[in-house]
Amino acid sequence: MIEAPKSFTGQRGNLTAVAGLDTGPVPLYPYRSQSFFELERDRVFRRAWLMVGRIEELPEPGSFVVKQIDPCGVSALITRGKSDHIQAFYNSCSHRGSKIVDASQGRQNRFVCPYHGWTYANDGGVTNIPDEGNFFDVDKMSCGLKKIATDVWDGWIFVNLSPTPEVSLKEFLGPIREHLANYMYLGADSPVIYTATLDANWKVVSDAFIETYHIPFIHPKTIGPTFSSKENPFGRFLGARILGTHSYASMYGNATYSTHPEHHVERIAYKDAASVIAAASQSETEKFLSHPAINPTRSDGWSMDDNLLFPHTQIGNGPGGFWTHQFWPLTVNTCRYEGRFYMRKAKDMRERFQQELYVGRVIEVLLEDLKNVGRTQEGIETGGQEFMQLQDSEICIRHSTNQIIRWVEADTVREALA
Amino acid sequence: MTGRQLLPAAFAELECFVAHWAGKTTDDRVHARSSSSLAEIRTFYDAMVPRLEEAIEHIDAIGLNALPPDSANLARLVLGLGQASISVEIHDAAIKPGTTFPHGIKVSRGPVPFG
Repeated sequence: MIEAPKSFTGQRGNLTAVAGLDTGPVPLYPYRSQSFFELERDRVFRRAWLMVGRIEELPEPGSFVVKQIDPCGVSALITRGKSDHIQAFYNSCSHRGSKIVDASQGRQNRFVCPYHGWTYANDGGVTNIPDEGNFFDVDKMSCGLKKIATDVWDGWIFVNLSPTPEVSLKEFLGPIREHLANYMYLGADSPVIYTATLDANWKVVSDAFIETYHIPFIHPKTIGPTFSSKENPFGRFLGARILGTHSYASMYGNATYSTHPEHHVERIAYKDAASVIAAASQSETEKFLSHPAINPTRSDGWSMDDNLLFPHTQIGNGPGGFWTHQFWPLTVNTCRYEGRFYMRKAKDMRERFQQELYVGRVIEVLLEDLKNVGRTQEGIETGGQEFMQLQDSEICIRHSTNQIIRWVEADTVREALA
Repeated sequence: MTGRQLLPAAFAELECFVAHWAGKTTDDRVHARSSSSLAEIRTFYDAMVPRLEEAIEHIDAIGLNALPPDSANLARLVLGLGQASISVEIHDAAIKPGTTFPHGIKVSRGPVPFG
């Protein structure tokens, strides 16, 4: 990891330069161009391995989930079969193409198309065709659900919409596998889920979640005091790492933040506890925090780390557990956000109350971001600016935009990853 | 009073708040506070805060996952206060100034239980 200098004011940091990234302005057309959006859909989202969920969403053989893979218009049925094999299929019947499963999740071993009753096992094979005798020697063996390339890494389920992916998931992940090896996904079976449709290009939203420069301005009352202080007024990063096509940042936090004396409810909620929402017991949490990718500078002034998993996922963690943000493109200037914050089942009412406050506060933060991303998109679409001027702690935005452009321009994935 | 009481007897004076503030899910409770006036939120907040510690203790004495209906209502009312406190303690306004409601952010699954 590249560690930032210990002083967070004045002289520029060294993250971008040490990472060997270009330091010039970064173009804005990828955020507003319709033709770029279409290339991005075809060359990024149809070629990259896309994280679509965790295995805990499929707790037993027979479990299934349905995931919408925007912007490609693909509804994916993901099943866990008898042998625990996890496989994604196009949610589309072999008879006349109809969508088969409307539910978003459940447990069933057979899927019956509502249109004409074609029935499939959860390994995709067709098991019943009503009035089969009236078809023309239909070959049942070739009439299974069409598979989508699927692989699992450390509990994360990935799909790839290429008929034959050019690179394996392992190769796609590259150094982030080692970086997050042995990471403890605390509370992975129990997420709080937020969803929103936003009026901004998906990268505008992703960018807002991978820098802390905006926090004192956009979130002065909600999380401003947590992410900046006199020592580090603009929330400069503690460190960063470029991980192949992915990246990572360790973020500053103000360890001295305490609750306001007149915030009675907040004070009662946290009476006996540190203001940390824990996903596990203290000893488990200590083990979690000892991971080398969690607060790697072992700084007292630390708030969170963020892993940008190309193209559209962020896996973050704070002192109590982990979360994910996903940004699914819908159109050039709209996207679907899904946040999952993993926390344990509360052991008592005070803990449950803390969780409610936390969840409510996250909504306020998202609301501040939501308004801001719409404004950002509007500004970008004026066409008045050709470039972004990115500072040293915006290194992950610089890297991810470079990577997106690289994938859009590259004829092969291997070339994009080279 | 006849029939089932909405809240445990010791908290009877808070029953008038149950219908609006003790929503079933986190999303319901966010909706309750976001669609109220600051005056309504403050009335609820001022009535609840002095009883909050006692309410938490009452619920924990029974056990969060073994609550009879009246105590479950109390638990949800406490959680409703959590949402109301955001208006009072962060914004001094029902919703963040400059934003509108509905805002399009949905908690499709809150913490367990009562999420």
